[in-house]
Amino acid sequence: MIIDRINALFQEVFDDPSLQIGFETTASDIQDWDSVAQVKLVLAIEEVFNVQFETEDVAGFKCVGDVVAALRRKGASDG
Amino acid sequence: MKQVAWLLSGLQEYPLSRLGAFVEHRAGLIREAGLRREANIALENRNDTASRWLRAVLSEDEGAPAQTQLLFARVTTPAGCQIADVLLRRARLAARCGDGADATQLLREALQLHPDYPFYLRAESLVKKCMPLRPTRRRTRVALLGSCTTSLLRPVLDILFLRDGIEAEFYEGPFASYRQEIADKDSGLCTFGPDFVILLLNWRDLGLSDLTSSPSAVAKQIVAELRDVHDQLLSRCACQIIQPSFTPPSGEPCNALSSLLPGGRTHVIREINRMLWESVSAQVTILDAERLAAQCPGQWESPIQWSSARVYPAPDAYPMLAEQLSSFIRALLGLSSKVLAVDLDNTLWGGIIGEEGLGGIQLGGPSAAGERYQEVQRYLKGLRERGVLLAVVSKNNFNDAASVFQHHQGSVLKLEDFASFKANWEDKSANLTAVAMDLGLGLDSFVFLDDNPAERARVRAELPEVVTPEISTEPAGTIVALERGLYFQTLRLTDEDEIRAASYAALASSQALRQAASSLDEYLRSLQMEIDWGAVDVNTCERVTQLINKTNQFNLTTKRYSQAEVQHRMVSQDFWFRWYRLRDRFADHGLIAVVLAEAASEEWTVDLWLMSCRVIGRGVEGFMLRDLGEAARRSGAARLRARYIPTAKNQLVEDLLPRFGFLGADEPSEFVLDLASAYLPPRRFFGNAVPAEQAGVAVGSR
Repeated sequence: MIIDRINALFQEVFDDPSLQIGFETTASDIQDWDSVAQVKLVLAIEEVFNVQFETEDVAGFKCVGDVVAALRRKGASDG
Repeated sequence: MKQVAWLLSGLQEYPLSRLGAFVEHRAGLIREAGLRREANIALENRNDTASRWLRAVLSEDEGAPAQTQLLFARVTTPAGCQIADVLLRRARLAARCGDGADATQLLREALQLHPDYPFYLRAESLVKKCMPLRPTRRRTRVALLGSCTTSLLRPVLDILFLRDGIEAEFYEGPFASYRQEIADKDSGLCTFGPDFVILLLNWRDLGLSDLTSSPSAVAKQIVAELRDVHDQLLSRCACQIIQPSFTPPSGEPCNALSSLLPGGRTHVIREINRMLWESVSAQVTILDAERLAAQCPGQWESPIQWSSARVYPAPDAYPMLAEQLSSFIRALLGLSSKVLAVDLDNTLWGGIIGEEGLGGIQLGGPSAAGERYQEVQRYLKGLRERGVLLAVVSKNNFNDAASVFQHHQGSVLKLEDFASFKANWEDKSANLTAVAMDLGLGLDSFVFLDDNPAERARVRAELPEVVTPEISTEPAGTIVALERGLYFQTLRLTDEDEIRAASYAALASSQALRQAASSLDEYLRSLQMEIDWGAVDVNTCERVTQLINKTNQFNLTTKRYSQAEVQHRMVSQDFWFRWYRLRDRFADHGLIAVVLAEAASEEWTVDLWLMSCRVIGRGVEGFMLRDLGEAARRSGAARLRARYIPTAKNQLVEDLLPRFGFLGADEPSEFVLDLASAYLPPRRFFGNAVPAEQAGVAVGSR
């Protein structure tokens, strides 16, 4: 599942192996999720999924579900 | 079983650069399907990089970290080279097992591969668990200022400092408020007191339009403002400023006109850079960002990242930028490498000289590979000519190895280009240690090049302080590795850099002479040494500053002074500040020693007494003490006071003071020499040694 792979990236970026995210998780749920962390997440996700987000995608990321949706639009699959 | 076959398909064909993420993904699918055992059995019979990697990842579920560590250690490229992501994984495992020192070593190895930015993001959390390299080579304080987000660059610098044994404290000001921070003497920046300020500005800060109507006035105005920023900062903090030059934007509506017309933005930006290079003070170093942008593997500038988070340049460019910045800091701290030790067969030429002979090896055209190897030699020659020392460490018969440099038409390097030449069948670590002894330099100033992964691994294990870059058998990669590592970064070229290489080669032959001379006195006399000396002045202060900051072994106090501090002491009446220069029958060693004393009326206090390790054991220290003692006597002082400040490297001068008759004072490690009764060493061995006044040399600043 895309969300599991994203979860692993969140654990890495926030250095918290116990972190569990869901589609509804937003920046306010995770204390260290600031604008810098946002950039790190975007870069890590772009690398792992081999995609390139656009300005509008990045601006539109309000919750994890938005990231998954953008990834699906770019052709990432659950397989 | 069909499913297992599907899960393991396509692995071998996947490109190496993205293999890590792919392997992780497959491992996840295998776990989900509950097919770990079956996959393991199938993988055991496979020997390619991807299969080994997947097997290692899957083994983590078995809860046997030692076994997992072993499996990961076997994952290399088909050519036997290390892979950064694998090394990072091993470092993480080591850290989890509480082995912080091992984690650091593995991380350092990974960084020799110059990974891309996401690697640094992944490694960031690990750094906190790594043990800093011991002993720490230097502590320093670094402030990141600018008009962009600096916190994404910081982790990269942090990791590079860990690699280089520098313990750095960082300061990042509030976003884009560098002008306020500099203007306010109580700001966080000024309170922090940085040694280095990295100032990150970009073309947007210049406010240039596509075409400027009076370009030279505008450029002058901008440069004056920038210099004001520098000057204000330097008046608040005793620091060095490093600033990347400006690069033109990637989108230029004027296209070529932007560079062609004097008022074009690109043209004006280049003019500003040029003026900056020419006009900034010695405490400011401008980094050539345009050259860096041209070499950037990804994009230099990302409009998306700028608009989302004010990131400039693009994160793709951070590893290169950080390598440059850290090499500048190493150079300014005197930590740049000094010696390049090289293997020969398949490193400086193609083939094996001992088997194929002079006619069989590839070196020089018309063969393409031969041309590449010649290019490597030309690069090394260039390094040597600007003061880097070259040494040979090769498993070969000496005569075979030497014959190439003596007789091969294509060899750019000659025998005398090498300061030390070890071609024998000894272990490479033993030979590297011997070279270090010959040259009187620490192994932490060595870089070692070898095409053989086994030799590299051995040297890394036995001499972790030696930098051993990962190079392949492709000769073109050798120059790339040296260019990326920037190990020998030098920011100012002094005359001494150019003659240093010759001087060290002379040292090696003078050591042969020492063996022949029946006594030390005879040896010293046979060197036919001549010494020059004088007060530190505008002509010598640059080299004196360099020596103060680079000398580790013969250095009584190891105090470091910036150029500004040296200049202050050079003109002040409170100091007696001298340089010494040495020549012998083998070489002109250049300016090699410095003494600084605080000259109070009753008592002179030795603040600096240091000498380049190239000329240790020549009796120069005795000459210096005589010079100092006589000057102090002439000024009417009664005593010399001096202090030995021990460091990890200066045991050499532990007993220097007592050896010359200084007596222990009230404070521990403080010594006093009573000038009335002192016996100052005679000026033997120095052919031209007449008192300074008679020689017509200025007598210090007093």
